Amino acid sequence: MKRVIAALAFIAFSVITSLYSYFSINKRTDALLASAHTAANAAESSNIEEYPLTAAQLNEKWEESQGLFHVFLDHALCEDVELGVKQIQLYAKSGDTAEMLDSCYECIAALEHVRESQRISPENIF
Amino acid sequence: MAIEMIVTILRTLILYLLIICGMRLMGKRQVGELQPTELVITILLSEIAAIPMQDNALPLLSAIIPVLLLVAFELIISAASFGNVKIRSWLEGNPLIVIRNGKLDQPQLRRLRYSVDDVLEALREKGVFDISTVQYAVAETNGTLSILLKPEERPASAGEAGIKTRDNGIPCAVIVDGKIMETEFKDCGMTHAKLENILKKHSLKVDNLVLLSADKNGGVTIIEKEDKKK
Repeated sequence: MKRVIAALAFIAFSVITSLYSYFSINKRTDALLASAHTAANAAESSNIEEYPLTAAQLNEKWEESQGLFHVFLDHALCEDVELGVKQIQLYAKSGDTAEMLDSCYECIAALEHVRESQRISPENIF
Repeated sequence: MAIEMIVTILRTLILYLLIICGMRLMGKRQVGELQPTELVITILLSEIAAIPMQDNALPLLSAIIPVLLLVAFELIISAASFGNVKIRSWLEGNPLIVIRNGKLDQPQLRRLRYSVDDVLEALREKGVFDISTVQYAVAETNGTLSILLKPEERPASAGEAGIKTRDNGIPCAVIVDGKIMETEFKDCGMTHAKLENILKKHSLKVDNLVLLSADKNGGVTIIEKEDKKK
């Protein structure tokens, strides 16, 4: 009986962990995407004054989320996002609009990839 | 590189402990005789644990969750099959007789996909070289072959030979590597007083013994430590 209880505890732990990771990663990815889009919009409108603020907001959200991302996601995915965030910060400081825009798109693509990998879909299951 | 090695060590340690705990939870049967479900679980556990051990880029949880789930499924399935004959029969199969009165049951062999060579090899492993001496051979669910020899081929038991025997019980290792194993005392009726008497009688010290085993009728086997300098 003790072993069955242990088995049920393992299943409960696995299900709760999976559901928690699924919802929290999706939520944080959406928040990061929103910030990345804000940064991209600023770059598209060449609003240089907003670059540092939008980049800082994105970086702050990434710092909050990266621990969780590394625990549950393939580290290669996390590194793609991290690289994008750091590049945005760098180009926001220098005020290089073209590079800033490229980095925003790269970061958005990496985040979209994360979101895509977190969907429960036949592609991901099989 | 250095931090990667430390991370690898920690990840390996965590997975090793997890697998050991899982195997202990699944019980002793897992290690000895593998049923089909247990074989599947064992292979899967080793594969799942090995990949994140080698690749630090994979999250450790991607191994921990499947390992926990496999252990949980195995525990639930073994509990279900323990209490239900039909489930057990479906999961583990049934023992099948492959030799009757020295003759191969060929339809059963085809069903099991056993070749004659497989049967002969299994017989030889059991010390049987002549198939005609076998009354029954049973292919067990774990793949081993159990053999019952014809009555005239079986070694006579003490009872059949009319020899009186004495039940000495199970010999217990009372002292192992210079340490008294109190947990063993119960099985062979040993007490501290009896043990002291044995040691006094043979002029021995506990520290100088590799093994002292005793049975419930007073039989004692003693192996002393050898002098390392020799």
